[in-house]
Amino acid sequence: MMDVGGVYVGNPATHPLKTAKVYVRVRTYTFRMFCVRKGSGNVGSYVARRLIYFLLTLWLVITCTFFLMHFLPGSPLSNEEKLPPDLKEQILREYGLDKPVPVQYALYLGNLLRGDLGLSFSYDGRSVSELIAQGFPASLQIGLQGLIFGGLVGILLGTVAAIQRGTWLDNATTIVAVLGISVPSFVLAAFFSYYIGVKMGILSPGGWESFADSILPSLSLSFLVIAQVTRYIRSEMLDVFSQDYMKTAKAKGLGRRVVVFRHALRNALLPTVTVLGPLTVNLITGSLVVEQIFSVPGMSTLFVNSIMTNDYTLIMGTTIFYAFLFMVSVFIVDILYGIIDPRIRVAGMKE
Amino acid sequence: MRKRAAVSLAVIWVLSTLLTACGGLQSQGNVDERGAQGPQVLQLMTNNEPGDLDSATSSDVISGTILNNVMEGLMRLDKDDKPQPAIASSYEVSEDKKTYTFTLRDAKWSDGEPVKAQDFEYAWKRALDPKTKSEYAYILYPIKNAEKFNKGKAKASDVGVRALDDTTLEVKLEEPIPYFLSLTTFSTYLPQRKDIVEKFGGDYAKEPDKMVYNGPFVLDKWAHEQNLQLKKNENYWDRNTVFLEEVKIDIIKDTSTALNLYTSDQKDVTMLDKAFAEAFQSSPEFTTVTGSTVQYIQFNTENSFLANTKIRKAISLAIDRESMVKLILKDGSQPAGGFVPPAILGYNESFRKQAREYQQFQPAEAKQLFKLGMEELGIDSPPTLTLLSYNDERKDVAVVLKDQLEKNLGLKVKVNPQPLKQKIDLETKGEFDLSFSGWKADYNDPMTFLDMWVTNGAFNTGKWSNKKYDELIQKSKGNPDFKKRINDLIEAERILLEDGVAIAPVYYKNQAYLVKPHVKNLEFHSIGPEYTLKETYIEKRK
Amino acid sequence: MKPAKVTSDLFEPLTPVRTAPGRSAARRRRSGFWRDASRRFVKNRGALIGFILLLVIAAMTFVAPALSPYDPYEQKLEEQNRPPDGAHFFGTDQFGRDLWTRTWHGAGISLRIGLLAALIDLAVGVSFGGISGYFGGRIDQVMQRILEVMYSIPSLIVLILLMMWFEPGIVTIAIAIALTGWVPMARVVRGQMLQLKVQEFVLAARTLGAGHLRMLAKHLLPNAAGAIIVTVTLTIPSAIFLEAVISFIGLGMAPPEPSLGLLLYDSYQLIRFFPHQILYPCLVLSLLILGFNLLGDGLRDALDPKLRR
Repeated sequence: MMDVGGVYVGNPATHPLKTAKVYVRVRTYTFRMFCVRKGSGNVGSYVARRLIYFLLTLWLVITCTFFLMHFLPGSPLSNEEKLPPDLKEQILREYGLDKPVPVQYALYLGNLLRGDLGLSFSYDGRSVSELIAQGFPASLQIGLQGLIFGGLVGILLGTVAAIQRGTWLDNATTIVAVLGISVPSFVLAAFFSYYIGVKMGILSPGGWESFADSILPSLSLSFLVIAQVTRYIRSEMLDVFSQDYMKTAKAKGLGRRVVVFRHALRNALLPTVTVLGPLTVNLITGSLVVEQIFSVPGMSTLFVNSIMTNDYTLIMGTTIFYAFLFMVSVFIVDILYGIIDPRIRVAGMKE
Repeated sequence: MRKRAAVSLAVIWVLSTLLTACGGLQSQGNVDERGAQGPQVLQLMTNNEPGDLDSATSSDVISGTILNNVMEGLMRLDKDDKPQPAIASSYEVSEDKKTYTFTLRDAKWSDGEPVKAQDFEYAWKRALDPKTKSEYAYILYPIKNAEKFNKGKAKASDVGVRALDDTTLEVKLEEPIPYFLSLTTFSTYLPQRKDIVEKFGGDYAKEPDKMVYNGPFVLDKWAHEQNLQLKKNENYWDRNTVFLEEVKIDIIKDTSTALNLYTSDQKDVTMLDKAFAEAFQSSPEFTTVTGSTVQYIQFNTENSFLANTKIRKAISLAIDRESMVKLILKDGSQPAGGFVPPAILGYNESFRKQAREYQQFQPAEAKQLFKLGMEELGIDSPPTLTLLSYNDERKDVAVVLKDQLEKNLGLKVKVNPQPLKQKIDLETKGEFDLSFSGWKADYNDPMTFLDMWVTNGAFNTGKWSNKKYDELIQKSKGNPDFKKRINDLIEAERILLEDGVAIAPVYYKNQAYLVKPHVKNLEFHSIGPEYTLKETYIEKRK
Repeated sequence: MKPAKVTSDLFEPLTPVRTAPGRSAARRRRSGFWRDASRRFVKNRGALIGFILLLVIAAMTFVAPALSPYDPYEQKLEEQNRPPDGAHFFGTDQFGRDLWTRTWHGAGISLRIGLLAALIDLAVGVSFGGISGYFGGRIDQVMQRILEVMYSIPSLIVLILLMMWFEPGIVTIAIAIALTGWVPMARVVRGQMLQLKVQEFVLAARTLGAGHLRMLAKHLLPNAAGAIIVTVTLTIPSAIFLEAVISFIGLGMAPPEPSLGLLLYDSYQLIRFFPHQILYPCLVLSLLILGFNLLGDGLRDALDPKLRR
């Protein structure tokens, strides 16, 4: 779909060696970073501490969500609108839902430690892990496709806008970015579904059977990414251009491309990565609206429905999964900080 | 001689074609006679994953519809929603109307095993077992000792269902009821195989290969949240009337996407949202299916303002139901002057045909009554009322109701749309003034609507109470004289709406569909499952 | 432990610096900075256009309803789904309500939701991210974990609870949106802090005896202003969007109050039948967001001291 190398370099005329050089330098930084850690002898304790924090955070999330969830009115029963009250009470008793919430909490934690996420209420006692395993791949696919496509286009547009600051090209990319961000995804999705799906009849207006079915949902998701990435890259690159080391680089007589790509783009990527972390999780856990309109059997429909139907076990399962992904992405972003920007390595080492 | 024979043949041919075109032909004929042509594959859609295909615990319409096509109970609904013998070939009713004896025909499960009376006994008792946690167990309560067993106050062997032998099932009821046969068409009343249920345990009915079927179709594939595929059941006793080889049901959640798939010819049938109904109203593909749901406003009579009957009546008379239905709903829904929808049977015909219409739009009288009511209460200006509502498409109706009450009565109304669970919670706690609600029939009898409103009834959250009404309902629950019973129920509805004004009915909900012209004999139901595909076939596509 | 570790105790001030002359000097400098910034802002044409665009839209939310004889709430069922004409500039909706007045009224509500949510995000996100990134170490660790917890609790549950306890309205929705909306802001600010605090001018300021508050307010945050402002200009539209998604789930503003998100939600399915119902609210929304973006760019260029030429 997209030539990754080509976009990263931005210009096919660039000498391949230069691309390789950037790569090598990134590798060097990683290597050095871990060297420093090894040298100070605390890479093991760093990881261990990080792991403890990780579990602590997860436990906090579980606890807060569990008790908040039980504040939601109503029960997880699906026929609640018509269920006679005494029968309802009896079924709740059978499920153990009549016990005090702290007791239920203790029981849940016990099961969780044994790796048992429980059975869903709204999906007829199917296991929560099975439901997540079934919903996640679709969300992951459209999310990643949207992210990669959107990210590449965004970097390209942002870089062009920054280099051509103040020209019509800059304004044009601003408008493209704004268009992407100013039309809600359900409007976009409905628009695509009707005009591409029905009027042109190129792709299916909805459904989930082949790769072709994933194009429109991914495209709808990518607009937000394009907009965000473009804005951040442009802003950060302008920031970097005004730094002294850029002047130094120019003064050294380095070529414009080298300056832009080796110095400016990489420094601009840092804050972009910061926002992309959570955004990635949002994207790969799915967008409710896009999944709904294109009938993608994904996670977010599962998640929102579980909350709407008080499906306690499914709420907990999806929340834990979501929290886990989020924290992993934060961890990865923290590591990427070090790789992309060696300056914060020193500060990062304090951890 | 020969010529005359030819002419009469031609006449028969024309007649039968006409009858087929009207969908009225019930013949057991072969494909050619019906005009079925091309691959017999039907493309359907549904808006959600079936929640539960275990008939003992299933409670949603989507699962009920699938079950209706892959399973078969003692009786099956025909296209007029009348129960017809299915797995039971015949039945006898005792003098006191409290004992039914069903004789089963020679039918087979999809694995070749015979369908036995024990399969029914097992399934019903399993649904009633408190351990099964069935949320629809109450639908079996008319059976003797069923409720007691379900609540742990009786043993399984006390329940009034018993297989006398492999082909005879005896059912004893608590009270004589006119709708027992139609109950036996519902999913909770379907048979289940003990060996299969016990073999798969918690996984029973979770996947297509973890259950067996005795209906016209079998579930062939089930990609969760994506689609279901039905295939003709070669072991079905009446397989010769089944034409469809395959039915594909895609799960499409968004109504406009569903419409997009339909108009791009990928699907044969679609439910039509009210938003699109107008654009297709004159299309020959447009049909509306009478439903068994009534939408109404419930008054909280514990609110001192709404405790006044004149005020309640004024509010009901100020609702312009005609224009609501014509201009907002557009899906064939009908203005409701009563509470029991037209699809519900009274004595041998629609209850609505026997009962009167009570509340119509009378703005002048409404204003008058409203003034009188305020005088009785001794207040000059009405308080602002909150109108609790669903947060789905029905909130549009709430918005119009608000406007009508403000315009016609000068009554200030605030709409409070809430998700279903929250709405039920607020209602149960009595935290509402007006509540826009819906009630769908559980079974084909006015009782499913009228017994809600007895004093302290679980769903009578407006706390309306009328002694005469309670007596009539109580009496009708066990009245063996079904004609007299209906007259009592008609009187009860009159008290509910004319004297008491416990509620203001707004409309009977119908559902609009688009059906491609090549789809024939697709039978939609007003009550219970959405449709039956048993005799559906595909005519030549255009 | 290591020479590379820079801690504040290495840079204890020799004398207290909170003296009167120092303060007034700071104030003088600050006013110089703002005058400078506003001069650069006015010179930036795109920013000015954005600013004017937003002013016009904001003004229209008050003025536009007066230009039409119709009321945004009044239903005339017999006039439903009219295309735009001389009377109804934007046509009417399914209830026969005038879309011109509803669109502008809705724009006002969306604007208020967006601004309020962004304000909360800004206050919470900047202080949280600033403190976390500036102090680093254990504080940072703890705060980052708190942030992860906050972010991981499903906001939809909190939203439903909020909607139960309070009436669905501008403030409730803004709070609900801000509940998780501040997390990206906090992370951006923290990232900036981590980057800035090891730079020479910070070291210099510290050597000169600047306190924590002064360091943050005078040196670090102005330098992070670019990223913060860009984040805000993204926060407002995403708040307005989140409101639309909340409407999609059925939890938005209580009818008959319009918001741009709600107007779009009500009409997105009708795109093939009555495109005008979605076109105009969408157009207003796009202009609104274009305005915020142009303004954001301008502000960024004007406020960022590094860009001074």
